[in-house]
Amino acid sequence: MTLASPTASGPARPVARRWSFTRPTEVTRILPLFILVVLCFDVPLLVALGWSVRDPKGPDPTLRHYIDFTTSPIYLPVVWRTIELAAIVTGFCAILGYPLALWITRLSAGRQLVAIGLVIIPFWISILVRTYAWIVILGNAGVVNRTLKELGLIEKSIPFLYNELGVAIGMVNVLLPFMVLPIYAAMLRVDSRLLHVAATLGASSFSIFWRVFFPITLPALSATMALVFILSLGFYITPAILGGGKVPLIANMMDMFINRLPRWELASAVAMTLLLVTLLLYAGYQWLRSRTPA
Amino acid sequence: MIAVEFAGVSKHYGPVRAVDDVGLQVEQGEFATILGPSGSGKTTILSLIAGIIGPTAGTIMIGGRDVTRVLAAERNVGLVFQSYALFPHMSVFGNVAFPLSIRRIPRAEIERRVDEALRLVRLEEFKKRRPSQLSGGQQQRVALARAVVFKPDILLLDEPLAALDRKLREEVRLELRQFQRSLGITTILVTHDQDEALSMSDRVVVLSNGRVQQIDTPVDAYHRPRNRFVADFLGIANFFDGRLEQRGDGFAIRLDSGEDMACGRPAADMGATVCGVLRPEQMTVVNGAAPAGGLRARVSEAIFFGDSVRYIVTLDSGRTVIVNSSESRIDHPTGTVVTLRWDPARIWILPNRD
Repeated sequence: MTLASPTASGPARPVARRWSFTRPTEVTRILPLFILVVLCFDVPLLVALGWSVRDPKGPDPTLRHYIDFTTSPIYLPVVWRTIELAAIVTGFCAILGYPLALWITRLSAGRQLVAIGLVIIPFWISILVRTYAWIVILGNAGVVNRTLKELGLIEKSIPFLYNELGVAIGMVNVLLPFMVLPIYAAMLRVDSRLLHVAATLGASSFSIFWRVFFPITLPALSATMALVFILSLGFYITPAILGGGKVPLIANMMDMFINRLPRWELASAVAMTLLLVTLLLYAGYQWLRSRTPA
Repeated sequence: MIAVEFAGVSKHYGPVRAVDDVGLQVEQGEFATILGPSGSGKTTILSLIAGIIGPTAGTIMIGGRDVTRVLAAERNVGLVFQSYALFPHMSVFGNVAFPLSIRRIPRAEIERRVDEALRLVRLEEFKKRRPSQLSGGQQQRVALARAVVFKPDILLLDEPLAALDRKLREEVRLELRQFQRSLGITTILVTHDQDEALSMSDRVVVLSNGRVQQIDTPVDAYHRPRNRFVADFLGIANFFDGRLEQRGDGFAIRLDSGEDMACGRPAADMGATVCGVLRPEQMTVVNGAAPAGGLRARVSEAIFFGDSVRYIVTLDSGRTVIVNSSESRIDHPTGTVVTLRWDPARIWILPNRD
């Protein structure tokens, strides 16, 4: 038997022909979506990129706006504040979300469904409504302050709102489901036999958690933290309302560049920088996810 | 000395009796196999010994100590799951060292004992690898090393060979048996594979619907099954239902289908309904219809296995009988008329209750 005989390559030919036949149809099938994405998403992004290097006084491209932005004593603190707040929010989401997800996995199947439902329900409520609800709860005459006063624990209202604390509380509230759901899913994937084996090998529940369960779910936790961090970089409504204009973040700053100053070029430069940072973080997120055991 | 003892142990899940009033004793150093079809409760028994679950009723003793309410971590039992359950985030060394570091053994001692355990399963050079970088057989050996490195009193194996391919499985079967003998560790293996049970164990516990059917040596369980389930589950069995009758000096089973089968001196009374059990290799097929003391049949299938041939034959009454021949050729092709012969003393007679 010769492998290179003409008959051996015979059956391959119609397959090849079929391929060249199906290729254009596959392209035409995704074409509408492709055009939509290019026109509505990629083109504006490229336009923004163009603006970020446009010199309003001349025809040559310039990095002026990037330099303006990165050397400005006004704008840069906003960026740092955004990153700092994103880190704090991510940390609190993890501290609240991980035990919550763990607690849910330990419930009976029916109760898990209810608990997950309760975690998801806020998704159905407008972020605006939820944010205003925090004013009712945390305001100077809000539920929390009034209760604390009536209990005699405080005399003057605690200023929860219109500062970084208020913004952080609001953001944690919005982002917690994003933290809980992936971690919960990752926890369900942990093979319970690993925990049983660890027990037979002599491990206490404390050791089983810290030496087996937590390390196995750690990649999922860090990936989800990266995701939440990325999401919190772009928050606009929550800082605008709960910060009362006193805690502007990057998105609020861009709003100012576009709607008030207006300095579109500078806004574009900030947007491009944010996009780059986000893409880098996203790459990190994907890398962490790839390390999560299936 | 008795290593493991179950007394009236039951485990119920709601109305389901996964394990139902099981009593069994495993001797020190013994290799016992719990054999049963899936859903018979064999893994539940293993989990009960390991302490992963607690019984609904009954007492479990390990080495003479009542461990019914003792945590898994304090039972000193090594467990190997079918899926091996290696810790994916640890190296081979980390996995095997785990039970030792949990026991706060000094680092140098851990290194020495892990090396020793890995040498035992011939995996010294894989110390730094992750479980995902090992083949199924290697993972299984790591799981085995991890289960014995802390010198447990009992080694529990849950279908440890099921995930291996056939050739490797037979190799590992032998290795595992030698491994167990060299350590002298009391071992309880759970399997649904009767070949595994017969070839590896000192004693077999046959389980069905959560109840023990028989506890015996492989040879006795195979040749002297206590009931039809055991006979049927261990290898292939031909069942001949009928009534015991005297035939001159000898005895016979008058089959419901009309034939007479000569049998040895039975323990049952004449006239009792019984079930004669004959294994395929306890009968021979001879050419031509010569039914004096035999049964006339027609070959309906001749299956060639290489080292043997299996004949599926049909008696005149329509009953199907399976016969094995150790000849490595097909002497009686499909359609030929043959006679079945057997040694009457070899018929095992079950009281026909079921």
